[in-house]
Amino acid sequence: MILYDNDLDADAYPVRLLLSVLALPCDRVIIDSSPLALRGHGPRGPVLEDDGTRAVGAAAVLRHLAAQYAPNWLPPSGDSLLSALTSPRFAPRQARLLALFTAEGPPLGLVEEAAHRLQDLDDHLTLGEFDGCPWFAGERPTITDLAAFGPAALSNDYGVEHDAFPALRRWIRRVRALPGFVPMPGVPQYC
Amino acid sequence: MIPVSLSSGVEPGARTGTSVDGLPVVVWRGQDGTVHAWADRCPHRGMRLSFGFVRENALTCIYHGWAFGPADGGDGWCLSVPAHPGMTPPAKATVPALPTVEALGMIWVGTTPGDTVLPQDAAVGGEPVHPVRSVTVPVPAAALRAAFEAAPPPGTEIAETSCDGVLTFKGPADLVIAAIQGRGDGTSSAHVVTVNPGVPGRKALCAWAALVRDHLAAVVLP
Repeated sequence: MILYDNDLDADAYPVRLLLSVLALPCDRVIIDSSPLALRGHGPRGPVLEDDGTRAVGAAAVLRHLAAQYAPNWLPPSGDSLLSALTSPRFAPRQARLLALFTAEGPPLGLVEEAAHRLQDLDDHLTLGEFDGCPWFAGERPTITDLAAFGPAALSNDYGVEHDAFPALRRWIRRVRALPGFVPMPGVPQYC
Repeated sequence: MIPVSLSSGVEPGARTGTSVDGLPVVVWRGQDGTVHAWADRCPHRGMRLSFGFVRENALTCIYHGWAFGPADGGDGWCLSVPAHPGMTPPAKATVPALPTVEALGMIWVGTTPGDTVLPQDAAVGGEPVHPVRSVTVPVPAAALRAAFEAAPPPGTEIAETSCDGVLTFKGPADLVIAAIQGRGDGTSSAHVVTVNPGVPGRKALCAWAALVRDHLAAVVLP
């Protein structure tokens, strides 16, 4: 099994998290997946080659790994949220890339939209906690939680903090407490 | 005093940044369960302490690892400096603490030294309360208060005992309190609790608070 990714690439972060949490042995090839290297074509995200199968993009790689090695990490009822979280158009992702890779940074409207998406996540978790569901898809963590973690935990990169999102803060602590959790640049080891 | 969070919003070992009348504040809870509200600024290099982390009953700055613990006087005292393990931390490396009280299922912070008085209606006759949620809106406290007053939770009415900072809604089957936090930057939060432990009721109150929030946000950011 070979993963092509980059430590700085937040799109690949959920894949690194899943590999580590499942303790799956995997060779890594570091590629330059930054938007600058891809010259505006947009990052394609991580690529996984596994026993003749090739999965491209975080959602496809997460689905493949979970289906092959840990079916209990698949969301029990559909994964439309996973698709939204890993979409290139997901506002928190766009805002962060513009903050990191452009001089002018993200436009205010995009930052506000990104904050609204985090608000949506906080609302989802707030209601779930009342029903004994501390994770996005219910009572146990799934690949959807891993896909949501980067966009949530890295929001400081474009100036949105977690002050207004108490349920998101509690959930971030849950993810960090998962055995095998690994940080990435921008997500401190401690906290 | 001003409410800054539901008690459940800052668990043992957790910290968050907030703002009280324009002052950046870090709210954190030690593993012993005691909650603290300090100026959100490391006395060493000015880093925000809310970016740091809690270990045992101390708050550690993410920048250089200076650890601060509550002293008898309440302020945060430097306990250790990792770069100089043998050094006694200087006495002036302290973090100003704000008076902090937990009541009504919320964390309240005083805005001046010795301010430990809760707003007048911050009591429910000793009944236990249960958390609903907090909401944050891009309007000042007065506008958030007005929006809540104009749209009480279904089945309740605003009680006459409501005051500036604490709105009380009474109904035949419920008593709901929304405590308002002005941040001093044009935004505000409401922290909502109820005496009714039922989950369907609390989820309905969640939806009510979110509806008011979304209405206000749509007015400000069409």
